[in-house]
Amino acid sequence: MNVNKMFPERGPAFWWTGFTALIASGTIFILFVSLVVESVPVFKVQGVSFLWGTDWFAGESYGALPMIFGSLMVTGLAVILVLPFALGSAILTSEFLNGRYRLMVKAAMELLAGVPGIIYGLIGIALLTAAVRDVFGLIDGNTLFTAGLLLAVMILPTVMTLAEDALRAVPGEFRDTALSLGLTRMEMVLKVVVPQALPGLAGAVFLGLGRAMGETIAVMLVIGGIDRIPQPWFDLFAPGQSIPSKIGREAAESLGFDLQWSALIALGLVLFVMVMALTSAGNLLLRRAR
Amino acid sequence: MTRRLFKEQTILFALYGFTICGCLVLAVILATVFIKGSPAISGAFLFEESRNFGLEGGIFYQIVGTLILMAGAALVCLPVALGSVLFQTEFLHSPQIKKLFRLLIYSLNAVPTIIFGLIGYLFFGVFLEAGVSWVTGVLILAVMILPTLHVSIHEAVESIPKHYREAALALGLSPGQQMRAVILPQSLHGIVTGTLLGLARAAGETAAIMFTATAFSGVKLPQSWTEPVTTLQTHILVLAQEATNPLALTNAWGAGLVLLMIVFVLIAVTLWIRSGLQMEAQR
Amino acid sequence: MTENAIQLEQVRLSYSGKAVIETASCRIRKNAVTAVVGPSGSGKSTLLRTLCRMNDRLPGFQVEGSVIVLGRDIHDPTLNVYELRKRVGMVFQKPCVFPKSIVENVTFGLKFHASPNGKGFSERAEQSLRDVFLWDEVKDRLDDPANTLSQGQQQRLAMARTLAVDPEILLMDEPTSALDPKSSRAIEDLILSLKDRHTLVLVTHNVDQAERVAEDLICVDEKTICHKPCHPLPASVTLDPL
Repeated sequence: MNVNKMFPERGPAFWWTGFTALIASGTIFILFVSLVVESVPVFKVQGVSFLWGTDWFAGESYGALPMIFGSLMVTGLAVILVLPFALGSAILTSEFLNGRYRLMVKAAMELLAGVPGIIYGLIGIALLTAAVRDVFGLIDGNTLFTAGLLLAVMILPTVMTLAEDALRAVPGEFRDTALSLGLTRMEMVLKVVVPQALPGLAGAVFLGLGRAMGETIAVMLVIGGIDRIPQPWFDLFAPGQSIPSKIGREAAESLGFDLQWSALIALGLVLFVMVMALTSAGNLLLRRAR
Repeated sequence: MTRRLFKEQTILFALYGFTICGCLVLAVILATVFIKGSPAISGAFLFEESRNFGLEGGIFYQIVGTLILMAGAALVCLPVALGSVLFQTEFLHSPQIKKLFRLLIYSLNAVPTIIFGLIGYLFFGVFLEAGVSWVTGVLILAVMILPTLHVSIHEAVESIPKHYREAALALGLSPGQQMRAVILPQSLHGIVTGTLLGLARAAGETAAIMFTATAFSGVKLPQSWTEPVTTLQTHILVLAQEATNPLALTNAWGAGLVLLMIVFVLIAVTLWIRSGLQMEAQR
Repeated sequence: MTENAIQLEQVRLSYSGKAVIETASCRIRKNAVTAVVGPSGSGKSTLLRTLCRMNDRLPGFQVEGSVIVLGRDIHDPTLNVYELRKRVGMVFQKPCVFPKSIVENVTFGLKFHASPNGKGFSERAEQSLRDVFLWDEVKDRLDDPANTLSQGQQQRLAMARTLAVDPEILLMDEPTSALDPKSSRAIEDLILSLKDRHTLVLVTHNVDQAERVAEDLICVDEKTICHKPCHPLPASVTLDPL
């Protein structure tokens, strides 16, 4: 690579912006490398069994499976719960509402997407856990289900906005053609617009999944905080633990260099890889849709 | 045919149902925060320090702490975001490298915030020896909001009409002069909206700062680089865990309402600036 | 003896209060080819789209006066607009095929109008493809994705898709403007071959094309329209140069 040819003008502006660009683009690598390096100790002690061990006792053994399981459960549940609402409102907004109302809905969604996670956490702990406990007749309302439900509400604005964008991106010609063939408006939407927007819609859902999986604070307050896979495993009304909530609970007490810290970082690495996979898939689908 | 129209109406009805339910849930959430939070709000609540582990007194230093962290993060982040955007638009010419750069920024945007907390603590807290302090918090949040600022500024710079740049080039301006004379003034709205969104994002963040920058009680203004602050977010977090105590809960809702207002004002101003620009563009 | 397929009386088309067409009165004969010509931006596409109520989707669009298509006022509230669009098909400027196979594209509209058992779909598809002279080119690859066809073939496929629904009137909005001369010629031949069974209305900015295929001519200019017999093309008609 010839630097002189690539960057013919190298004044002070070049060096300053180049330096900041290096920071901006290098951060993600630094994060990844640090996660790998810092999690080496726990993998040295435990081997890869760290990933499928089911027991986590600080100072004795570190098994990540209950947390991985909990993360997958709450994220999956959140997406199943959010899908009809996010897609339904996206279709209605993009295809059936006219300009003014559409912009109003979009602005409201953007506002709601900014509600801090701690607010959802507060609502969860003060109201939702009790509601879940009473409605389903449980002893304790801090369950995987509660966390999934709260996450669904949290990601609704994000998924809805992205899905609406994907629907709007379908060219008007397709709508014209479908209508000219005598399709009703709903037939046009369901048989032409939605299939055409499918990659974009899937992308929206994947990005929502990624966001849900990384959410810490709200989940931490309502999930129950027990590092155990429920018996039977599909019992959503049992307490559990997700990766971020585990890290959030224990990071403060183990800030340092012992094995527990390394184990938490290793959990972070697992989370990082899963979230990156989901988000990359989502971004890829969204880009293909355009 | 009537069957066809019936089906059409049924599905439309269902769409309305889902939309209204979704909006209702969100409306209930906002209403709850307002209803539960407003009784706590008073002059004393806003301007007094908290006493008795947050059960009594106000949230003055919590508000100040949140403002310090978000303002500091935006201040640190802005030059970096601006510089990296300018490098991308002014010096990078290969479309592949530009694409890669974009991909890296988007990936950074997706990183769970708790990971910023973990690794940020290692770098700023341990290697820079800032410990659990407001400086660590500012730096972590600055990295966290970098993609928000970058994307917003990048959009603004990309949308500068070509002839503006060509005019500057024709005058023989160097890249640095071009940036000052054309690009920065023309992309000011993107810089402002990006910064506001970044501030909102920093204000709403809890996970990345709760074990790296804050302490719960007995903290006022930081007197040195390595002292922690107390923030609205972490204040709510601690009070929420005492949810059985009605005093704690009332103050938590009050702090929640203040935090929500800070975030909403920032986002609303952003939306307002953006809609004003759209109207101008339509003219 | 000729019947009118379409009849416009004192029609005014406006968009958010601004007139696109000030007054339009004209008749379009059944089983004939009528060309609508005029400078670009004169509202000829808008006029054409009004005939099958494609402008319903535009907020702020308004039609005054009476538009009678196939004996009925199309703004009659009891009229079934989907039935109208089935009887009045439309082909657009840019060929627009759905990301499905060739045969699925042809039968796409059919599925919504025919009885649900789906009998005779393949025959109808074959007939439509033969009508647009596409059958011989695609009969061995009916299940290939439709976007593997050339632009000209895609436009003919779009016409086959419209014909499969069996419309009485076929509206065409500059159907050859996105095509090369050879494909355009193929479309023109196609139009001529269809006029025995269909009423065709063709918007074009190409005077030569109008002369080649149309029997009647409608000129749109200065927000009004005038009716002119076509053969021979009157020397006084001035149109935008190409």
